[in-house]
Amino acid sequence: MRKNIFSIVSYFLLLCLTIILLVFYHNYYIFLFLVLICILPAFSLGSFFYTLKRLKVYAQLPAIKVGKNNTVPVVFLIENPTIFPLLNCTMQVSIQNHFLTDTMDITLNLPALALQANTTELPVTSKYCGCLIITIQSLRATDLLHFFTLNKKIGHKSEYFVMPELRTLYQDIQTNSGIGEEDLENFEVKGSVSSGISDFREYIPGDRLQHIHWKLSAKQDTLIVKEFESMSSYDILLLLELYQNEQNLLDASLDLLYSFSIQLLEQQLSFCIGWYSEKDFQLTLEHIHNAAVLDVVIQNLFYEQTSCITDLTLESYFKLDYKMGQALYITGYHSPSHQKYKEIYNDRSRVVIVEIS
Amino acid sequence: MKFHKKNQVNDNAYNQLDASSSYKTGITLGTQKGETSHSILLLCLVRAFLVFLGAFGTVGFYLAGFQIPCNYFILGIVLFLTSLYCGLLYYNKWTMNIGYIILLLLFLFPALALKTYISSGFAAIRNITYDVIDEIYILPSIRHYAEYVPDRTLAITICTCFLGAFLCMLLNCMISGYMSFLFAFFITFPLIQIPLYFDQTPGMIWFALIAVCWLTLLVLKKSNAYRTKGTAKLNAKGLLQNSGIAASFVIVISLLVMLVTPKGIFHTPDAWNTWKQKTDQYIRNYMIVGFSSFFNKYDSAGGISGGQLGGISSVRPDFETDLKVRFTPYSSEPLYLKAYTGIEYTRNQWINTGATLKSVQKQYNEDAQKYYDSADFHRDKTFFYKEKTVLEENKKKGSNGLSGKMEITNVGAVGIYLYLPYYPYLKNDFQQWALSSDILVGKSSFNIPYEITYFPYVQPVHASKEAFSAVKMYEEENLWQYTSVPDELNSVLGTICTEAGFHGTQEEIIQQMQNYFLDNYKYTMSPGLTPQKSDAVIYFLTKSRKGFCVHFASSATLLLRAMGIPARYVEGYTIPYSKVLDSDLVAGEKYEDWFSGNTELGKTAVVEVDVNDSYAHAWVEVFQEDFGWVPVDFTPPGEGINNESGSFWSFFSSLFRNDSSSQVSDFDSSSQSLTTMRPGTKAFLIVLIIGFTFLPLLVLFVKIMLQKLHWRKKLTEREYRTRIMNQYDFINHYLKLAKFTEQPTNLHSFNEILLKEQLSVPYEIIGNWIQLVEKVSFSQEPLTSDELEKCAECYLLIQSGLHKKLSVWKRFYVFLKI
Repeated sequence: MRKNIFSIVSYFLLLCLTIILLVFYHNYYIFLFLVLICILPAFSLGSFFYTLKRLKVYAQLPAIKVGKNNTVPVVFLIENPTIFPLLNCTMQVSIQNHFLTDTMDITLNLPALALQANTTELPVTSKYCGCLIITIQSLRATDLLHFFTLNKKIGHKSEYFVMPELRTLYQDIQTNSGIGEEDLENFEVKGSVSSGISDFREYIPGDRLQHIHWKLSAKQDTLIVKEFESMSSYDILLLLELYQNEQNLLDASLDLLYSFSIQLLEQQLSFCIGWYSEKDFQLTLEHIHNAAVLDVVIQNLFYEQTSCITDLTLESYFKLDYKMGQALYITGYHSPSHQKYKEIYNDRSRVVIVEIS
Repeated sequence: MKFHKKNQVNDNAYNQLDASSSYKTGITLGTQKGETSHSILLLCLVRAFLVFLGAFGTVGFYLAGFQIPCNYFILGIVLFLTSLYCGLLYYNKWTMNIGYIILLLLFLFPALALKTYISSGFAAIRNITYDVIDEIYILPSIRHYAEYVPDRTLAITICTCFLGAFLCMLLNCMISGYMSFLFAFFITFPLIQIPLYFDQTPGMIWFALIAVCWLTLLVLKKSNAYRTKGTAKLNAKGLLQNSGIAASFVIVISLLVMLVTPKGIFHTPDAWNTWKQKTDQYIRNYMIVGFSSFFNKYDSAGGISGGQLGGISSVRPDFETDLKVRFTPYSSEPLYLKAYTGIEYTRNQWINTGATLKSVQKQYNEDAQKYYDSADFHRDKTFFYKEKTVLEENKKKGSNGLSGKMEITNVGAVGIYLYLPYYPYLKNDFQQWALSSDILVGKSSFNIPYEITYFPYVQPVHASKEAFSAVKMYEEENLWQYTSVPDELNSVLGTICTEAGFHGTQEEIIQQMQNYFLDNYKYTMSPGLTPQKSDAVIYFLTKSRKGFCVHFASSATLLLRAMGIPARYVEGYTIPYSKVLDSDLVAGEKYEDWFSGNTELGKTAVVEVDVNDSYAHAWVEVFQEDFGWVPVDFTPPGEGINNESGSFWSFFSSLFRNDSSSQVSDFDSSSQSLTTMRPGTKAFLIVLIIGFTFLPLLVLFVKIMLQKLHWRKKLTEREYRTRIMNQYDFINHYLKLAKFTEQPTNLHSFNEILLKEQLSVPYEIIGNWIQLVEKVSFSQEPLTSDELEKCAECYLLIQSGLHKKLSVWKRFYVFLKI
């Protein structure tokens, strides 16, 4: 704004000087120059609005999935179909890891050259995994004479995933949580793990009464039971607490989850990954058969929101009234309540708690 | 060459922000790439083209404006190549450093080799320009410079090539370095405005070239596209496109305006423009006196100095009309109008009887009759009219006698004098004139014309003995005082006369003296001040050997007296015949009513001449036996052509030189002027030199002070986080300026650098400070008061540690910079 005012004032002084020169020299060429000086701002403004209206701005990503600390060259484009260049163009870009509240706001200078698409490349590296959302918030452009600066809202979003990295499990867990090797050795596939509701059907004699969905039955006027997905083949449940703590702890938790998952898949074991979803307000369980599914699940997980309440996943899990298999609960929050939960529900399930600190 | 240093501070600030943001989000951003076209070559070419437009447009505008013959094709090619070279100098640091040396050689060697052509071309340009200006102002004199090369077009082309190349260099600094419209405007406009001022309009193409250059610069400056660093970056393509848009805009709009408005729209008289009328006076002065006319402003005394010699350093006429003289021209010789007569020379001035009209009137109680009846009046009248009596009788007796009538109106001349032609006859009017000895004292009221009958001097003189008796009586009674010379000057004047070898009859001596002055002395309207305690005449005769009419007339009078020839000093106005020819004819007047007698010009018309103070003059009256006082002019014509001073090289050197030795060729000696002015040119020059010396120092001082204030404000910021970050920034700057090592990129490297430098500060202090800075940068936790105190203490210790590491010169350098 200050620059604009300075430009206007200096231009006005030039105009005054030209008028004085015209009065003094009384010459046709000075008159011509005065006319040019008078028309130039109108021309500048007109071409500015005309061009700004027609500018297209977007970002392009070369990959959708990368590892941590891998640099992604994000390409920003500005297309100017007009003959008027706008050299004072800046993009307000925000880059955010979906898990985090903080965003990185940057301003990129990208002149809109006439009749062409100008590009710029911004190398982005993330040390945390998650979904990186790159949003072009607005385009700020200034006219030829720097009189007017306008913001054009863009709101264009692009995203890519930074996948967790594999860790050496025992060492990491020992280092981070302090639990013994024995605890992890005891974490074996023994029982079945119940899952969420997969369907509803009419009551068949013999069904457990606990499975009757009373509210729905009342509505339908017939007994409806909740049908749970059989977890008999998924004996292992990996639970993740999406607690909004320090980012590196959540990131380590995700790494651990991913590493366990890969290890289980290497052993050709199917398993479930579960977390408390702030969006659905319930425990989300996803079955993992192979690496592809794991990637999809992990990517879905990146869209979740972190919570500021602790132990939501663990609590939801214990509240489920099903026979559990073996569960590994990963959290970045150290709390005595974890042991209390374990003691309370120990008769029904066996849960290994990994606290990363 | 350093580019845009001030952006570096912002870059550091950005890095800090980036580091903090990166810590929170885990995202690191690399350097933005490829947003602009980094074709330095294209950028240089675009800038070179702008330089070419500016330089070629400006030079062409001037030449075409004054219709100076020149080969524009060759000029264009030379300027284009020079612009291209200048533009490419900014390709990188090597081209910049080596290129300028080569450019200097490329410029200097041909310039020296073609010195004659350049000087001749420059003289031709000035001569043509002055001729055009002379046509507009009809100046009493016009300076002309020597042209050695017969082929004027060739000389002008070569000269303009060099001038244009010099202009290219200047413009290139402003365009390639700063893309500055303002500087480019101030470099080009002074040259453009000369033809504009004199209403010499060149072709549209020249204006278009300059306008494209100016407006493109204006647009590009605003777009910041020329920069190599900063928010908006170097962008050759953008620069090219913007230039194209600006050029198209200028051409299209200019064509449209030309279609709509006729070009003759401003062809109106400038009479309403009072500003221009005022500046016209300065221009006229410049045309005659040169640059010194701007430095030596004084109050005009209407052209008559009243015999004052000392303290006059230069003459600066105001060109306002002093007298309106109506008469019939009778000769091609200059017409003298006498006003002041100097009898005795003493202390750098000529004095006469000391009487004034008022004093005479008082003496006779303002009783005219009493005065006219007095014996003094009768005697003085006889003496005063002695020449008139001879001529009148000559006319009556012979056929070659002449007499005429003249009407003079004092418009702006000094009112205490009566301006009279040779040899006047005035009607008795005690209110207007009286006599003191043979000297007329009188006054001329403003805008009231007075009529005089006059008898021009014609030879041979045939008069009766009775008529000559008054002359004889005058010789006996009064002539003694016109041969006296101050004692202190006697020996010097005698030596000069001896050395000059003056001998023979009175006529021969006069002729020898005129030649002596012509050969050995230079006419200038800016001779400079006579040193204190020096006699003006002796200083002129022996030291300076240059002066204007007052010096020549005074010296001649004293030299003649030293040779025993009665002479006296006279001031007044001379009207050259050329001026008479340019004057207005008076309608309805008969020649016979104004003049009688046969003249060399025959029957002429009655004319009215406007005489301004540039026609003021000083001459000598020499006593001619059996006749009386005859005017003789000893002032030589202007030096005319001076080989060096009119050259291209001396033009620049003479800009601020006081003794500009203005060359006045074709200068009618009768039109050399005499005016008084305020002394002080040397003092002004001293002030100017001191000003030029101290101004940069003053600017530097102010800049340093502003920097200090800026840093002081930053380092004493109330908000502690900003303050500590500013302190970090300051130390960063300090390290960079002191050139300890590379610029630190982050706190870690910063720490390393500080430790590596082995400052006289304990490592612990450095470590603590870095930790605290880190905390301020990356943590939300506030610093405790202890930590703040510790931080401030550590900062001061580190700063003083760095300071101690520097040599005195580096300390001074750092002091100047931050």
